[in-house]
Amino acid sequence: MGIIKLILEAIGLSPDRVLFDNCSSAEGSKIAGIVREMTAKLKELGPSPLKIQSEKE
Amino acid sequence: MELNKTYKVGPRTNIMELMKLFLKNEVVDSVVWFTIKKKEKKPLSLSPVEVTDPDELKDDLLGLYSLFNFSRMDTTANFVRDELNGAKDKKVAVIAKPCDVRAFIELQKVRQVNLNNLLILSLECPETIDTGKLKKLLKKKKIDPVELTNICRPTMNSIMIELGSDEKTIEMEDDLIYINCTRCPRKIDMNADINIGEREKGIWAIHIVSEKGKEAVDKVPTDGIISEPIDTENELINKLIDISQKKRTADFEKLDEMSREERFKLFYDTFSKCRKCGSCIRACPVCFCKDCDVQRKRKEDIKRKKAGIEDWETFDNILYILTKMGHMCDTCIECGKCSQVCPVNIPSANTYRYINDKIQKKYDYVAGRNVDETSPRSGNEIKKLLAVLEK
Repeated sequence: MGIIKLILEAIGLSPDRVLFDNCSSAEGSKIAGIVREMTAKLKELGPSPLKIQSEKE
Repeated sequence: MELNKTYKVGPRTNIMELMKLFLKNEVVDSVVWFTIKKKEKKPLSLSPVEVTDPDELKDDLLGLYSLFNFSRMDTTANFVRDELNGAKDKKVAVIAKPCDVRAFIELQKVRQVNLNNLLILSLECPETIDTGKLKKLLKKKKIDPVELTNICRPTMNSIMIELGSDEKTIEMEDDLIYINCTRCPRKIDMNADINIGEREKGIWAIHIVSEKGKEAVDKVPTDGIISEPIDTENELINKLIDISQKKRTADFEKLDEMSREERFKLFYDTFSKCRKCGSCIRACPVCFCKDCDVQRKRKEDIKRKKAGIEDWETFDNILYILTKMGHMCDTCIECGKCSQVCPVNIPSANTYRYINDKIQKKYDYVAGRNVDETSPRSGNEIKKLLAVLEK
């Protein structure tokens, strides 16, 4: 996980775009919370530069 | 012979004689040696060959190997892993560049080679020359590359070529050496059994590094091959290491200073011309999977394209690069083969080097440094797997 973040940083993508977490099946509300938080973060970051670039071509 | 001592060997053919002795006295079962398959068409392309009969060991190509390495996809590590079944069932003596030694360490971690069966003679590496560029340079000087019998690097800025009995000194040109080699500070590897190096023009020396290396040399009659001990270090290599280290740090500083957007642009501009040919995967000495996921997806795409499916591309080039990067970055030993074999000249080794540096800073882990170290990513999993396998 740490290494994936290092790769993203090295090639100029934000390491915040990837998240790795674990929850038990009993922790439904925790999962929902994590997903909600991540969605908000991604919306704030906007579309990935990779997507923008490939759509340009 | 004593451990950690350097001995004078004399001309490079004595190294070959030493290998012959290893074969004759059954210290090893086979030796990985060098050959030029197509002397006329590709006079500078060396290929590895397995030699088991001491009398067949006669091509005096050590000088060429020390500056050229094997051509195209071949490396010593690749050859031992694929052709010799990882030296699992016989003892093999190899001459390897320091990057190959690092590859052996990484392959040993995942049990693709058996390091106990390998007797590694590692070169004190004078960097690798781009043979394509050398050929052009020779053409300019009206020298036929077929005549080239030996090459050495006596000083930083010159190379000396032997054409039969004739000798010529050529000024070093800027881009004659592969970029990756000019950024490599690990030109002498202390994980090998014996280090060999050309200390002066035509004078080779060996340095006994490991107990295994000492035993091997003690087992054979070395009179007339190994002579008196010397206590000098390889000055040229030490100088090269200093310069490489500086260039390496400067590169990283430049990348660190860039903003994220600039780094992305650089990444995209370099890698978007990738054709997904798979050369870098085949050439990589530590990329060992028999059933490669990346290659399979690539081939499936080609099938879809041939079948006339409109939206055939499921695996684009950036995904190809990123998958490979995610898979390889913590085992990359910085040999630079991926850049050397790339048909569209993508310098992927530069990016791997940068990520490696980041991994080293964060986890204090360097691929190929020590057999007992495990990768911060998959180390624990590999340990568990090996515990099961070895039961």
